[in-house]
Amino acid sequence: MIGMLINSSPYIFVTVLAFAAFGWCTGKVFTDKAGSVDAGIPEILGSGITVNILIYNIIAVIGSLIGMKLWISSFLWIVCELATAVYAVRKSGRGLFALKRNKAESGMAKADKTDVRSSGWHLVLKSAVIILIVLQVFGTYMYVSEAPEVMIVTQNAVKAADTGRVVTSAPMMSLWAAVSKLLLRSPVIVIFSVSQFVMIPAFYLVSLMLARVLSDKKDEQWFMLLCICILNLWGYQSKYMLPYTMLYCWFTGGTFVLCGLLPLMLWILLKKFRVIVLMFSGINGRNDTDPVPDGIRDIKDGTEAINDYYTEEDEDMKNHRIINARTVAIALLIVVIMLVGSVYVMNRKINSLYDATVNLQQQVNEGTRIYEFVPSDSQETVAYILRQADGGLTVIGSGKASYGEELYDLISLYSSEVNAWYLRNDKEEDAGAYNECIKKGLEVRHTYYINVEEKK
Amino acid sequence: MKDILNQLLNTYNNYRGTGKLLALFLVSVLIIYLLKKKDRPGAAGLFVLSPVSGIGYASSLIFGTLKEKRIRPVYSIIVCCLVVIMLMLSGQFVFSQDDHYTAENAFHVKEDVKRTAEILMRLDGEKRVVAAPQISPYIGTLCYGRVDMLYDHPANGDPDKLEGEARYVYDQLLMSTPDEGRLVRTIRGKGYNYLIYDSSANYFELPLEEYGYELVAREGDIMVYRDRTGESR
Repeated sequence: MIGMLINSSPYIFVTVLAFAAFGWCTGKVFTDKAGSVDAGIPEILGSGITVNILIYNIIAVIGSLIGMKLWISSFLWIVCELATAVYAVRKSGRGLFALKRNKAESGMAKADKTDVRSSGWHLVLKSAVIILIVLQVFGTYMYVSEAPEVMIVTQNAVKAADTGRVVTSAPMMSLWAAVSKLLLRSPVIVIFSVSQFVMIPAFYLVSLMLARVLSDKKDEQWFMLLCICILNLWGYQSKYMLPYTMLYCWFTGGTFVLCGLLPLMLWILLKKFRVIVLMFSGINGRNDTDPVPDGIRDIKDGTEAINDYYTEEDEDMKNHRIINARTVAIALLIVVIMLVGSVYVMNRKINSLYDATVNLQQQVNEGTRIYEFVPSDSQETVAYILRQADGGLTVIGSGKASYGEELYDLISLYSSEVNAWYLRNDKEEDAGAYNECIKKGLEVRHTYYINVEEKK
Repeated sequence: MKDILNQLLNTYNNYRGTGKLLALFLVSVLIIYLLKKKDRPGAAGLFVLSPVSGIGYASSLIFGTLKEKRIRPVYSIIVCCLVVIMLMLSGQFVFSQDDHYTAENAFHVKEDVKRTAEILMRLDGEKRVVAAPQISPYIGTLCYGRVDMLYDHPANGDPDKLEGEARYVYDQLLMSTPDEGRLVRTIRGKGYNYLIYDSSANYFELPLEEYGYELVAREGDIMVYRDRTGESR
């Protein structure tokens, strides 16, 4: 086990580093655009990694419709990542790795010092959560699920890596196939021994983002995360739910949507809850009596901070900026709806196509089939071979003795035995090939001579 | 209409598991609504996007309320433990002994099965494979696209999803003593030329050599037989 971990560690390290580095840059841009004034490590990394994976999924869904090659999808993805990174570096400059400090944090620190009980709770809960997450990551690495459903899910990744094309309706599996190509490892290894080091922490980072937006008290945040850990550890619901259960299938699209994308959307909605309520109520502008979103009230004290928030929102609206927090949220919502819709439609089409073709070969095999025997030196059909649904053969006609070998070879393709053979008569001209077949060892159960003459 | 309702009910029954998670979520939505109706009216409904987060948030609200009310720490701990136990009862522990075993390699496949798949991929010629149900999902995945499997794993593990001979072969290979003659005839009739089974699970009365098969590989208990009659099409 230790040896396995040592062997895998360079790949794990490279993958985690790449996802984290690109995730950080994307997260910086995303949290900035989402108007998150208090973005910390969970917000930046959690949202960044999730958005990056979403970007690949969008590329893969579109690419699969045009039969895109896997390397092109990887190339486009990396270009998107690099472009975002360049944008983030240009926008933030030296502040790329700086975290915004706010009054609430310092206020919390003071509160923690005065409230020993709260601080104690917070530390205990935080330690428990971190231990549980680490155990979950290593648990999925060290233990194998006996459920074959989990292995079957990875077939599309193997298919994508093998064919070198993005697989229709399996964008996440195409992602792991692309990563496996970059790491020069089997997609099965990447999925079961590398991906959990990225996906499981990313899912918990998104959950921590949610906890931070929902409560300003650290002990409550960590207790929420502890509960989520417990729910995931005791997460087995049913066999049907396996592809969506985090600790069984952390690598699937279903789990990504359930544990990464939807919580991220929830985070945006909670952040922008008031704005969305106003938008749907058809109310424009702001009254002094309007409630202030929790995210803002929790983080900043006093009217200055609140005014900052509204000033940013109003400035965005005044300047008619195309990209602002609202449009990002709406665009994300539309993208997710389109993504889910397209996957659903595609799945239905594939399922109906599968239903139509699944038994095609069987039906072809099961139905009676007729083969014509046309000797190589003749243009005429001299015999017919009827292959019945149960595999039994009936032969009608024969031809002269010189056709015997050819006819024997044809019949032998289907069976070494003929149930019934119908011949016009026993003359050499009409039964010669039949006699040759018998000599060669073909077993004929029943032979019938029709003894009919051609009427002229 | 009735069909649609039945279908919906079946789907729900298949996915719900114990049903406790749904109950927990509904209770959580109620808790969030009651405790946060002043701050975030209507926000409780948003948790339908992430039920697990909703349950976690409701639990943290209970935890926060206990603290606010300055209830004795011992009672707080008891309530929190009860909440955690309740969450544990909502599903089954993932890493249970029955359901998991220690990984033998980075593929997360048993070493014997992995080696069998490697051998199979190295063999020449057309490979149309019938494997015992406990092996086929892994062979089917590791050799995906390289071999043609009669079945790998029926959808959701339900053998009813397999049709015709595939269902028969699947059922036979689940038995400790399959009907050897009919099994071989069926496999051959379907045109499959490899038979892989676990000799610790399937016992054939006569050696498969009697039916025109040859042993091409053996990895632990896993036997790989090839049909040498060449009759299968």
